[in-house]
Amino acid sequence: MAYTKELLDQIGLGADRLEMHFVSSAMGREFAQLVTEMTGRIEELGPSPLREREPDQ
Amino acid sequence: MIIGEQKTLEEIKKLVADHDRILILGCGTCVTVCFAGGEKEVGILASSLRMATEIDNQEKVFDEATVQRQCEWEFLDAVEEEIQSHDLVLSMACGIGVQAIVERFPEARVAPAINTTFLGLPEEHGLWTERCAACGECILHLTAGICPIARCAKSMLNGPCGGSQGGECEIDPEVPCAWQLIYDRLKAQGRLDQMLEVMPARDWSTGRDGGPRKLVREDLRLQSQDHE
Amino acid sequence: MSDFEPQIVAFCCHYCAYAAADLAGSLRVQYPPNVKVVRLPCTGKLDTMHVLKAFEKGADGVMVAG
Ligand code: SF4
Ligand code: SF4
Repeated sequence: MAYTKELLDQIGLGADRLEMHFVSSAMGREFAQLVTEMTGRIEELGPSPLREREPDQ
Repeated sequence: MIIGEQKTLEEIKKLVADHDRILILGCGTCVTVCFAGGEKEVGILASSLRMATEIDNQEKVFDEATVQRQCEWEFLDAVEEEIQSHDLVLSMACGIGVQAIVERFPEARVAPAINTTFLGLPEEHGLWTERCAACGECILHLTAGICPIARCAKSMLNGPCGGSQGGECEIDPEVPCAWQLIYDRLKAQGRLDQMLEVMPARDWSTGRDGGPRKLVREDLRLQSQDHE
Repeated sequence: MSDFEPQIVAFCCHYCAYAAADLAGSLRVQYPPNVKVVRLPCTGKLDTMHVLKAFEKGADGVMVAG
């Protein structure tokens, strides 16, 4: 995981775009919460630098 | 086996900078086992390079292939078409594999994506250490199976030297003294008298000092390969 | 920027997070619809390659939950 994050930095995507969480099967609400948080974080980071070049995506 | 380590993505980006159609060629033998240049690493590198160069606004094609062994003609021949149809082969094999490509296909442009580091073994997951320096005249029977040529910083034949302290080599406390290891092993085997045998100066010409080496086995050669 | 809708890929373990996602659904908890859940037998199976592929295919973010 640390290796993948480092790789994302080297590629130029940024390690912040990857998150890892522990979620058990009973954590429905927490799951929704995490997804909402992640969406917020990515909104702040903006679109992937790869996507800017593919407007059709 | 041969151990290798991938160059950094930054370095590899420079290697491919002047090329547009790049074939990333992996090797299925040593470098697969040490997680440096097998099919999986080819996939990860290709994907990384595709994204990194796209972010840099460069249009490049990265194709992937992996052969069983890059250091044998017959395996290279199987990917001849791919090699010829790209303007750079980014090889993930050891230095031997990289050289084999140009030797077989003199037109091909090659670049090494990994550094060939040494001949060693995986001591544990994620840890490789050097074991043999291919000296050309093995003396492991005299050293309780521990190689002083590769594992002693000074390649001493009659160690340990004065720098051996508490089992550590003077070059680095992380490096075990090879001669301490030899002593301990001989002691455990009840063969300490072996330590007293003086090893005469050896003929280093069988090693790298003698220049590039060559091995000929007449019994294995085919008639058609006999040049003279 | 305002119309930016992040594409997020969530790699979920079949037995934990995928079940949690399911539960979130049945509890009618709202969560953003821009998340694509990819079910794995176990996140231990997840490899660097899968994460890279997700980004290569245009994901803005990747979540691993297990
Ligand atoms: S003595 Fe020479 S051949 Fe034997 S292990 Fe050491 S370097 Fe290799
Ligand atoms: S301390 Fe041991 S391993 Fe290091 S140079 Fe001396 S004999 Fe060789």
